[in-house]
Amino acid sequence: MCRRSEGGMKGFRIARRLLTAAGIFALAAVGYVLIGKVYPFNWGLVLRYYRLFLMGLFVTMKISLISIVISFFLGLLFALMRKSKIEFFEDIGGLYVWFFRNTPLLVVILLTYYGVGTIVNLDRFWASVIALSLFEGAYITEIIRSGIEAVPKGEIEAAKSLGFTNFQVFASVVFPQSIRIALPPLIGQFVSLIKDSSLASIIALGELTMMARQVGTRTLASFESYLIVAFLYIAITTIISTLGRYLERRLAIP
Amino acid sequence: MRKVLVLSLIVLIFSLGFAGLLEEIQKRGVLRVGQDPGYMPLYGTNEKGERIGFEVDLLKKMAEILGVKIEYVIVNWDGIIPALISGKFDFILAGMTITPERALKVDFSIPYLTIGQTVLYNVRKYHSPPTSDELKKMKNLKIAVQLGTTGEFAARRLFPNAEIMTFETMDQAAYQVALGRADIMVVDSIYAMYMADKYEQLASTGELLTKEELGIAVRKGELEFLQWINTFLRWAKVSGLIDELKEKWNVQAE
Repeated sequence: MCRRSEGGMKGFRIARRLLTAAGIFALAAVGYVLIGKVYPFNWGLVLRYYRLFLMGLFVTMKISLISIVISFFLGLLFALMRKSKIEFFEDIGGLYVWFFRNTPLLVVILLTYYGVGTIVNLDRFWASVIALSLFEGAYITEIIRSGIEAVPKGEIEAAKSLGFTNFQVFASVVFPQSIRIALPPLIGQFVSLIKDSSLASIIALGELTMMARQVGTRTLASFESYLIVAFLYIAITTIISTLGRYLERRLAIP
Repeated sequence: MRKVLVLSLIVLIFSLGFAGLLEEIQKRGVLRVGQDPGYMPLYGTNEKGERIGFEVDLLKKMAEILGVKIEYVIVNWDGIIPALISGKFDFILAGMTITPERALKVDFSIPYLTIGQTVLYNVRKYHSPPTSDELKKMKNLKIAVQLGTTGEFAARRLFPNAEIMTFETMDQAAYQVALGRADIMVVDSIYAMYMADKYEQLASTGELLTKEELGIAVRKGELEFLQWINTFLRWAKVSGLIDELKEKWNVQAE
């Protein structure tokens, strides 16, 4: 693959991006004015409820961050199980992935809240966290598993012949490499998780989407509140992706 | 003479170009009504998937007079006014309370029922019907409501310290009370009485927290159509059709 030379091209690229951004902005502005002719925008009314948006944003961030951490460890655990030599563990891992990758998240949330949640009395927040973590964990299992499989077999054999124990092989050869390989799709999955958390509004969790709907019904200006909510989601997910790209560069093996 | 001709020609062209909604419905042969999934005994779906209820029968009479078929467009309650504005259906006949805030976005007909908000509770939780004063003093009161209803607004106004759980449908909110996940539901009196009759664990306090009138909503400016709807409703009241349907569906309202 031939890489374009840096320097002269870089300035050109920035100019091109700015031009694209300006074009999109102009298009959006024209669209806004045209829609405004049919639908009278009333931003003041919606912005009066900014506290509700902030509350929703807080809940969405909280549920997403906790679920990201739990789903990552679930994914790691089940990926190891799937790669385990003990067949029982392998089957459990396979069953887990099979179940959660073939069930809609909405159904998982309803099952957790109305099914499991009634028996052990889970509140809405924790039911959502558990459902999201289990669901996204299945995808993360597969991402980490493919990361582990991408580590060349020769390296594992080399480490073993140098006298590394199984744990040492995993901890210092397989894991650090597979995480680097899995990082880009992992970040993508975390971004999905944040967006998927909006489905928790079905069990009346007051997250961002639910709050936008509440503002929409109270002000009867739903277009405005949905636009605000779309912007807020884009803001959070862009921050996560940017952090991910930074991490990728930091961790890259030179 | 010539001036009169030109003027009448202009009027003719304009009236052709802007044929009223009433005429359009008759030409189309279909009356499109917006409702949410269910608000029994006013409207809902039976085991065979047919729409039934007080308002459904009222609609059938309306369609019979117009000589058209009925098409039900089912949307979520919190999106019903935006859907009407964007032309997804001709009008809303869905137990909608006439409020001055809503009247900024849509035009209302004359009222056809007078109801009030009341409290639906679980008989296993409260041995005697809780009064609103008792409920106001309760700590950590959890109230289930349907998102965007006057029940939600009344609950927020009357019980400012309670936790309000907003659900997409009335049945979901009532289910929370039956499960014991919410303490009470604030809802239209007709629905509360219907549910109390149907399920032995649910009861209605019967105390009316508010007084509200239900009306039909049309897009702003559809005055000719609104005029016809008002005429129909006035006739339905005087002819005894409304009383007859109230008895048939056991609608306990004025």
